[in-house]
Amino acid sequence: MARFIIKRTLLGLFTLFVIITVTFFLIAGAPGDPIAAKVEQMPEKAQRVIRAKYGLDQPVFKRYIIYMKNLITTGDFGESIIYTGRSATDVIKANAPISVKINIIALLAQVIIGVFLGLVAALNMGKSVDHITRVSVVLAICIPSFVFAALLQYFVAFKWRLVPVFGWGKPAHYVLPVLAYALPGIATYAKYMRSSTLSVINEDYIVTAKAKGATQGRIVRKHILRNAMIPIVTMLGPAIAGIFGSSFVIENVFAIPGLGSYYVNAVRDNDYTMVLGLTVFFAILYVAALILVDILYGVVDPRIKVAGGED
Amino acid sequence: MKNNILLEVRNLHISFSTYAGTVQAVRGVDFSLNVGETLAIVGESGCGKTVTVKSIVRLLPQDVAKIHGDNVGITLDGEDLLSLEEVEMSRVRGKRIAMIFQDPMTSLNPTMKIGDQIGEVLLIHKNVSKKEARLQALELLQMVNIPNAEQRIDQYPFEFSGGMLQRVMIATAIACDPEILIADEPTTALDVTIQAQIIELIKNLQRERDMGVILVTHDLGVVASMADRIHVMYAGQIVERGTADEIFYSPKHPYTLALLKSVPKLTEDKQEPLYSLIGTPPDLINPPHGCSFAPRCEFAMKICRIAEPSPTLFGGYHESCCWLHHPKANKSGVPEILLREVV
Repeated sequence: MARFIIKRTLLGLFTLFVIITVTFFLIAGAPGDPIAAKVEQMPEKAQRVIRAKYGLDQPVFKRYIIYMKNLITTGDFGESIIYTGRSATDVIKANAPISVKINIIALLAQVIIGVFLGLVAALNMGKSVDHITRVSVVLAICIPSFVFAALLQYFVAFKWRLVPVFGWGKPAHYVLPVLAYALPGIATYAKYMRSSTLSVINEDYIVTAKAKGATQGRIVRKHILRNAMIPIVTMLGPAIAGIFGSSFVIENVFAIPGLGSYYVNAVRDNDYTMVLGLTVFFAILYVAALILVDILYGVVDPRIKVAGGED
Repeated sequence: MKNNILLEVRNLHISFSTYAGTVQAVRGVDFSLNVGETLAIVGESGCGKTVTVKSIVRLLPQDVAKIHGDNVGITLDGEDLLSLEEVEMSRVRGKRIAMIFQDPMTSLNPTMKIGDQIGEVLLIHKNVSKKEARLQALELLQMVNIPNAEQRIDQYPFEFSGGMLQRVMIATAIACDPEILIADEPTTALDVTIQAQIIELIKNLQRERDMGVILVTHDLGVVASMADRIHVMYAGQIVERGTADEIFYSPKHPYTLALLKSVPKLTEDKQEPLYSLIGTPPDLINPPHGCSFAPRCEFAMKICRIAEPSPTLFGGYHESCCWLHHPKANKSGVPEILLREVV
């Protein structure tokens, strides 16, 4: 196991290196530069001083070397070009916990509720519970989360006045964003769980379990659940990344001071250091999530360990 | 002999609703199993043998399979299994009647340790702790001759070979000391040397524990070495029944004879192609009139396609459903073995 984790971590680091490099050159190649708009009225000389300060007068390659050297030796993402004195690290420290909190709650809700719904639907295949779940699942998958956000804001917050429309700080502020965020995910998990449960139910070992005298409840708990969860674990990696992606939108809709708004603004302003810093941060999370899923896979399905080169 | 009967199946009809129509998979099967006896049900694929034995422990999908028939009954020691509640039935399964299946590779849960799968049946039926269940599982593994049982107990099915998995299935089946072991084609998915070992294992365990065994197979070689009585099934009916000697040495039904002829023999001339029965079993959505074997039977007469033959008794238990044994039947050209008087 340890060897497997080390191997995956090294590969992950290589992936990060590639991501940073590609992002660096992509941003550098994008039209415009971060200070062009701001310094238009400044005298030529002042402009040059500012450019020199951020190293923008250097060739791209040299900038890349300097950036990488700083990143590796100090772990510093650098100072924002737009907001003087604010570094990407500060922004991440201050705002990431907010995003992460929402994301984790939403992800847990998605997996737990989705898996439960899918399981119940599959076990009652052809009955009304199944039909209702299937129709709602298709609807919920098709409707994007920002539409849910607007609907929830209108009904739950504005008409019924159960929770605040937007804002941040109190526990009640969590309700709508988490719901809006989780609904499409719940539906997706329910859909996958339903179909994987249905295929597991028809396996020979379920008949064996029944022939051993196991009751329906025991068969579900001991034999169906774990085997039907295998495809769900596969989905978790991309899901963790996806949940970061869609949080930009939700954070904007509900005016949540998460990382999302900073990321969007940084891209709009060509704020090189911020974009890079946040990208690297997301990439680290993503790669870590994938490694975690690979490990989880081995926990859920014992057959995977062999493929990992252990034995 | 009568009070020795452990399991009795009476006038069993099973039909499946499918999109194409209702398949009458089993059409009036009767048999009984005595204490400690081995009963074989033999027939080609699709003749209803697996369906018959699965219905004994009610493992058929309830939504599509219908069990019916006048005065139909499956009784275990006088208790009607068909009328039991599902919960009561689950106390019979694995404890009083255990079952092993055709394909051991798919019949074990891939994500559960071998020891836990054997122990599960003990946890369900016997009031044992997890620790005790594990200890007993270990003993059972040793009993079915799994080498290094102490290590093997914590492994997963993918780490076992097919033959070893079938041993695990057998260990699971005998864990609660059942009165009846149903073995549904236990050797079909295994290679020949392993087949012999598995059959030997079942035979030994049966002798030690005085279990009744119902052996379902299409392999007459397997049957010969262990069955006391044999039932030959064709198209959902039992066409001939008798002791192993009667079936092997004086078959009375042309289908039985065809089955026997299609077994390769060591003494046979290797240049001669092996006998094979022409045609396929009838469509059980619309079973043929008369004898269902008539369309493939080389001795079929006019009457065979009109009326169903009733069983002719040849003394003892030996019985066959064939018009050839009617006094008025034209017996010219029929092999002597089918007609021979039994002494």
